[in-house]
Amino acid sequence: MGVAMNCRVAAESLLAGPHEGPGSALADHLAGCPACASLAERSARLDRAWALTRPHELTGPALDAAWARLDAALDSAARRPEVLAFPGPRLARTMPILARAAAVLVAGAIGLGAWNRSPIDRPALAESVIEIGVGETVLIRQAAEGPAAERLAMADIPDSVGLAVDVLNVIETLAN
Amino acid sequence: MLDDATAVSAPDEQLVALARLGDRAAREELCRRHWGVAQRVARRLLGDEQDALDAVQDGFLKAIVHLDSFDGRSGFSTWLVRIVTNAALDLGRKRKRRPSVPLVGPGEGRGGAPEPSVDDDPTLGLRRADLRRALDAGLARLKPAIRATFVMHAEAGMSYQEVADALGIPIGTVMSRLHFARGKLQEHLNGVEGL
Repeated sequence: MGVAMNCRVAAESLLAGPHEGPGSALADHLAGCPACASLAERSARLDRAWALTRPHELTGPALDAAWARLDAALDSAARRPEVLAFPGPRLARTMPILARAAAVLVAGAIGLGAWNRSPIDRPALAESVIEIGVGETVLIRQAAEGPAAERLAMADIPDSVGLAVDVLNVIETLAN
Repeated sequence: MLDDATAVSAPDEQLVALARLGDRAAREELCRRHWGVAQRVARRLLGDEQDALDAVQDGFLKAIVHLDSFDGRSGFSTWLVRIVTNAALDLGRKRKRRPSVPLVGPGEGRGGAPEPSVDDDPTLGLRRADLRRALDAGLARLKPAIRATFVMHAEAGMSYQEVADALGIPIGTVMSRLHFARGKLQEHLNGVEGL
């Protein structure tokens, strides 16, 4: 007899979707846990909807035509290779933005330093607190209402999801 | 040079090696073999058939032109899906998402690829349209990074690790994004009949 599954592991199994389907331990758990059974039903509805709306694929003459267009575009690109920018890693694509942001910050700091040495009266500094979480990439810009942050990485996750995130990361850590 | 019959049975690795040398038949077979998954991923990401075709063509173009940068650590399909995903997201940023307009009538797919028959259940086509609208709306509301994570896993069948490698994020982030996306999409299905 196997070890009974708990709700955390059940939730992780359901998260995997139909590709990494449940075993008998999950079925046993769902039979005795109404909360997880409800979660499983909602999850199954999504999987059914996803399968029912599977996009169709080009075949036959339509695929022939698509390949012909692509082949022609390849010939054209071979003559003008510089027009194609390759989508590099995320960091590489983000670096120019970060570099610009850093340049703006450095220029601002230099300007602020020079300003602080000025003897003339000056208006009060506008201040703003911008919280940046671990792992976030943030672009700080000057908006009409003051400094504003554009989050370039993953969006804020609601508190209700935060616990689940922690649980999943713990599970991952234990699995490793 | 490969003949067409040999190309069809050749593994991706061999086709990639030949395509790098400029073999047209190898390029064509790679495209035909992987067009379907690329198209489905782009369609899910963009919610529009024509935009999806444009993104797939752009993605394939970049992939083949830059085939030398494919290092073989992942499968060709995984590498291609990443490129098509980026192409689709770039296109999505340039064009506002717009409601999907079916390019074909009920029961017939583009290019002679029929959708599952609705003869047995005349309401199935309508239900499927409702579901597609609900899912498209749900996907449109997800942030692009989360949408891409979910579509790579759910439509392209990529594992957590493959998605993590493709997007350059930790596997825990993949799982949290999937959890978040599933929750949001499930909300959009509330009230949709016939599931």
